[in-house]
Amino acid sequence: MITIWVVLFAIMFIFGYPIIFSISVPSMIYVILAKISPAVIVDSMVIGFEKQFVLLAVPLFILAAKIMNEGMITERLFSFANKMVGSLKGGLGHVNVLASIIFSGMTGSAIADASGLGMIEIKSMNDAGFNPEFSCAVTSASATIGPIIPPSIPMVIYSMISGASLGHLFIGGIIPGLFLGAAMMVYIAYISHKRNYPAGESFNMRSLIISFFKAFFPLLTPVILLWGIYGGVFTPTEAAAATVFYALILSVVGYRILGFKKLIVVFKESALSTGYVSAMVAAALIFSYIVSREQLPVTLTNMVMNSGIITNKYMYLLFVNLFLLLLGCFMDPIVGELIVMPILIPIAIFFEIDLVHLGVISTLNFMIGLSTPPYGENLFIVSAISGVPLGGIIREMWPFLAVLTGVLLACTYIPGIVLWLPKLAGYVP
Amino acid sequence: MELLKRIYKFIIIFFEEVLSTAALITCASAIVIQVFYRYFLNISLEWPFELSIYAYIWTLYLGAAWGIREGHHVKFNILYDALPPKVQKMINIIFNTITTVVFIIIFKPVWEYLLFNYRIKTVALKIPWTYVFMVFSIFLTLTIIHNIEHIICDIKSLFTNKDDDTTGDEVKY
Repeated sequence: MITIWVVLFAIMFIFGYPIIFSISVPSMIYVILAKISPAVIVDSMVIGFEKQFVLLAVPLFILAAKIMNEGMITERLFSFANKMVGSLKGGLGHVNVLASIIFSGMTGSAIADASGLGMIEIKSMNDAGFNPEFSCAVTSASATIGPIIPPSIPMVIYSMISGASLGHLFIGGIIPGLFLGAAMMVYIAYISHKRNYPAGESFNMRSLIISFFKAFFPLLTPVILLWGIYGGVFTPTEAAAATVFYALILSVVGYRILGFKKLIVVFKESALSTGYVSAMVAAALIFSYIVSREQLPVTLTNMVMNSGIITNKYMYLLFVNLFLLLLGCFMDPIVGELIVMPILIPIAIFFEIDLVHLGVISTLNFMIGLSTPPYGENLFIVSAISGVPLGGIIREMWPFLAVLTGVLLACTYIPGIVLWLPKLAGYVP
Repeated sequence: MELLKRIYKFIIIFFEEVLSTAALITCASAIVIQVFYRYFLNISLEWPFELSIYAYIWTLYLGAAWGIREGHHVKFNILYDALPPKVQKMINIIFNTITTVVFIIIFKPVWEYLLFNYRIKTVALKIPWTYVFMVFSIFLTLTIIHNIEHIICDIKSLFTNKDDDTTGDEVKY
């Protein structure tokens, strides 16, 4: 029975059947064959959602990102970032990273960052004389920051799987996210000197202040969010709702960009996205029911223990990193999280690895996966919106991947980078 | 016949697009209302939370059915895209048949279980569970319908012998 389940899942998955079915249908067949009451399916896939209220943040963050992308908020942010660091050597490269950092404080998905900001970023970099492959690579790499700095949809799902506090996960992502941005900017500075990329318009305090006021209200979003979560005023879900509300007020009443018709389109698109993101979660709930019924984590933990290779938590963390990086080359982050984390987390608990720490580094791993060939959704998006062939982008991508992996290793082996801020906010590991 | 088709189309679009969007709006508004009452009026309401989670479940399953109709669901497509269109269609037919059969088998027990839970009511709103979780049966029905549409579409194009790239991933109305 367990064999049928595993084999059918593997075949369906490899041959490109939609994930929601390839993880739920074999599990349902297992339930039928094992003569368990099908009530289990309803209990885990539908009623189980009642307890997962942290998941409510998913539709809300999707909605917020769509409203911001439609409501021209991205352009104001880009212009502000441009006035701030555009005058540096290779200015627009830095602007790209900075804009992504700010924008990532508002949206929870790398895809939203790459597709929303990417258009403006790539176009203005190309116009300024950067080679298009490089512009695409920067955009794809900087979008990685999106889900590391809160809010973050992958972290919501991790929190659901592991039971770790979402608020602390969010706070734990702040420093690694800024660190990522800084590391990328260092590399951009280096390459800009080497290739003599142009600096943008010279620094002007007056226009910086003007652009700051133009971007003031959008810039408040991450402030509200972080202040709310950090100060314990909002739960992450409530913070998400507040963001949606604020973004709506800004783009409908404030800037009057979103009309009624466009707004309905935004809502419809969000309902569709919510459907296919959350349906995978629902399918994974029945999947993990079988995983725990078959006691797979126990079996695997024993296997790991008896193998004699992974003997301490440092080895295990290295294994997790390598495994997730490899997985990320082929898999969508949310799918990867849903399938693999239920198995990795119990072993991590055994090695006494902090779950918030593991959450941040696993998210980082999966986000790097978004920019790795052959299957990297960020690469596909930047290639699609810019028209630059994938091959060239990938060539420019390798140094960025090295930078990202360096940051990942630092965060893995110096837990303080991740855990310092959550501890200040009252997290007890 | 034309009229029937239009009614059918109307029902599908009503459930998948209109109702899911309405549920999403309900979900978001309910949380906003709750936050507003708690922080500005110091009143802790119970019903908005419950409403939002149930509205979310409705958005999820109706949106998912919509995704199935339009072929939006995430899949691992590296190997799949490399296969010739004919093989892709055959794979789709096999898998869709398996899913449809499984869903038909579980449909009845699931429905009975939902009816059985009628006496259990939600805490704040006092709605019977049957109504709240009925969306799962609607999802199963819609999925079965769409899968059959996909299968028919794939078989048709397999036998018309046109070697085009269109697979039955997306059903156009």
